[in-house]
Amino acid sequence: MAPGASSMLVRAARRALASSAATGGGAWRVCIVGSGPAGFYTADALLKGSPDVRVDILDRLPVPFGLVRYGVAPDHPEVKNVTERFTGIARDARVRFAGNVRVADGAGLTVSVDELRARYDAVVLACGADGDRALRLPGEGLRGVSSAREFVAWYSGHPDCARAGWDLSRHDTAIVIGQGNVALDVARVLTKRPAELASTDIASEALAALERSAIRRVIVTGRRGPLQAAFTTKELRELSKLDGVRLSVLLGCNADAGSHGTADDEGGALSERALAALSGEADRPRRRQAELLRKLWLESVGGGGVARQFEREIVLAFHMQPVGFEPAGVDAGARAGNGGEVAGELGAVRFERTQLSPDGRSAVGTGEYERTPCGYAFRSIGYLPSALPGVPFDARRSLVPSAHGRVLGSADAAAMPLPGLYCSGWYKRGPSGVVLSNIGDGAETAAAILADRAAGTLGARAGTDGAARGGLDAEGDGSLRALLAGRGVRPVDFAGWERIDRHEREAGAASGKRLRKVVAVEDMLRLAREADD
Amino acid sequence: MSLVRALLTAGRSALAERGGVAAIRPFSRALAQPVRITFVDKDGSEVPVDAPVGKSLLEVAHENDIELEGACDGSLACSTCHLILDEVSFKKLKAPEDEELDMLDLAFDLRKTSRLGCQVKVSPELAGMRCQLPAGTNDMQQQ
Ligand SMILES: Cc1cc2nc3c(=O)[nH]c(=O)nc-3n(C[C@H](O)[C@H](O)[C@H](O)COP(=O)(O)OP(=O)(O)OC[C@H]3O[C@@H](n4cnc5c(N)ncnc54)[C@H](O)[C@@H]3O)c2cc1C
Ligand code: FES
Repeated sequence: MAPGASSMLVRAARRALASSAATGGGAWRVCIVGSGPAGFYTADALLKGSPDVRVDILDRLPVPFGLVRYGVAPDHPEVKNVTERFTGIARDARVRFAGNVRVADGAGLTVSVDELRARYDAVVLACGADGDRALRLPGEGLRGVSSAREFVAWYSGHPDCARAGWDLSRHDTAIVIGQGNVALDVARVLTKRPAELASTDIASEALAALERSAIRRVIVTGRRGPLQAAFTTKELRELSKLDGVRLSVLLGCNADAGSHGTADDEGGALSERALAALSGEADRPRRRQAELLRKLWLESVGGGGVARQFEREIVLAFHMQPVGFEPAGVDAGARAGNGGEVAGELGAVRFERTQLSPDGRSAVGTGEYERTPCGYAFRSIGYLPSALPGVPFDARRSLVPSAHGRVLGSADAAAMPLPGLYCSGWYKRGPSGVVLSNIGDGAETAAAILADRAAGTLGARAGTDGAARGGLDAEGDGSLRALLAGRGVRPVDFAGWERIDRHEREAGAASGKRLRKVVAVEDMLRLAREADD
Repeated sequence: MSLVRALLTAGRSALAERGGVAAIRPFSRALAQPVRITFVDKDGSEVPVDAPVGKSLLEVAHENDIELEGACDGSLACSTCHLILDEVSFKKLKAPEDEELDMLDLAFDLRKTSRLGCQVKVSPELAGMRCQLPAGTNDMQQQ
């Protein structure tokens, strides 16, 4: 058990008191769609703000915790400690969890947002971002080009990607397009010694593929310069300390030729003068990151001395904008006009070199091109929230239009909030920030709900006969519970998840892993029900 | 309130049984007097507490119902235990390691005297320290 157990008990006690204080009726219901950090932190803020609230949390998977389980890297177990906190929230008597309940159009085994709105005072969409942003470049469909999101989901044992599979034994070079933390996670997993991953909760198939991997070099490319990179200093430092892995920093030059540029390349983004300009207190994070990059860059340029022995290399290459993917085994002539769709296996990525626009915000092509041979390319340019039937969606921004957590009627600036419909987390803000970002976010959304309740404008359960139909724990014909049963959906409650969890830990202990994840949904469902009737 | 107390005590002895911080604290320290420090909440209200020597500020905050998150349970992976210390106390402490600074860089309302509450242990020379909770946690400067 984690050292925070005692504080969890205090919190549980505080909640127990709060709920026992809630004498008399007055219970009101909130349904949260999605059991990631945003779902749990929104629930937490609601529980603290209202003793008589009832919160039902739904997830399309039988298991909770969203990207903490299926995104956070297997070698970052400490980040996953936050699930202890979520477990404390889930055990509050006012909270129900129902996994294996997908919110969609209400057909088949799904339930629609409108059906939820008819049963709850408020519905919070906290369903994250499970789509991919595409580059829309020629050759993107070649074998070997894939999304970092799918790769991460695969090594995390996500049921959706169980069969995806990557044969990493065929080529020695991989390119990651994008320079956020997800890109660095992918680079680290691809280069770290598999033995160091063996005891984590990484999916067994992924570990086996990594053990057979032929990849020796991973080039992580960004369109802009080193001061614009989205990764955090913590992840960068970790990359620089991997056993047997060299980290090189390239400033806008040919990654394949391995040249490193000179001190006056690149308008001196990492020059001492540039760093000195970042002297304000508010610049501290940027300055510290730039200092680390400068140190790594000098080490890469300097190179000399006794060459340390490295098994693998990660290259951070800046000012490189991909313009197309080329198939393997095509001669230079055929390569020239790659307008149409190409089939076959990836052989190289074509890049255009860039420089920063004067305002530093965007990368502008310089008209110089280069071609980097590789067998794998991972797009790591962002996760995308998906549209839900019955909910407005701003397709241009790939986001639900919202203000302070209230879903708006349309993307129009003057649009009014839809009564009783809210959003939180990545579904509200788009895919950025860390677990911590969802705390303030959940608090904001909960505050909007509580304010609307106080003002009497929740107005959910509207469009119905006005009867309070009830959620997961209600007996009535119109309750969500009855609706799900009628459709043949068999929700997994929190106790069911805890049975899966126990099984995973026991199986993990038996095989020397932190835990051994169950991957197939059918297996999860079977385990969840083992103690049932 | 008694329920809280009971659970708190249960939690503490559970911690001791597991051979946690309390159990391995050296004899001399175990005898040290608790140290009076003050948490200053987001709204400016002050909560003076008696902090046992050797505990982290995060643990002390939790034991006194101060709303400090601590999402990663003190393993330097989240920065949700961010506290802003008074300058005098800050200077008494050994400078933070790179790893702590890396996490602080992600914290909202970062100041010169910011520290991670899970990394600072209570010691007698910190008597009188003031620990301010940061203004909020919703804005992220990082992409
Ligand atoms: C690869 C990766 C690594 C990361 N590493 C870190 C890290 O080390 N440290 C850190 O602080 N942060 C990290 N993050 C960020 C962190 O994971 C996110 O900030 C956080 O998970 C977002 O929370 P969320 O609740 O909005 O979304 P999610 O965590 O995605 O949760 C959404 C939930 O909704 C469910 N859902 C989706 N659609 C439906 C539907 N139609 N019906 C019902 N349920 C649905 C999903 O199954 C999921 O459980 C990482 C993110 C990624 C992608
Ligand atoms: S509790 Fe996570 S860094 Fe302190």
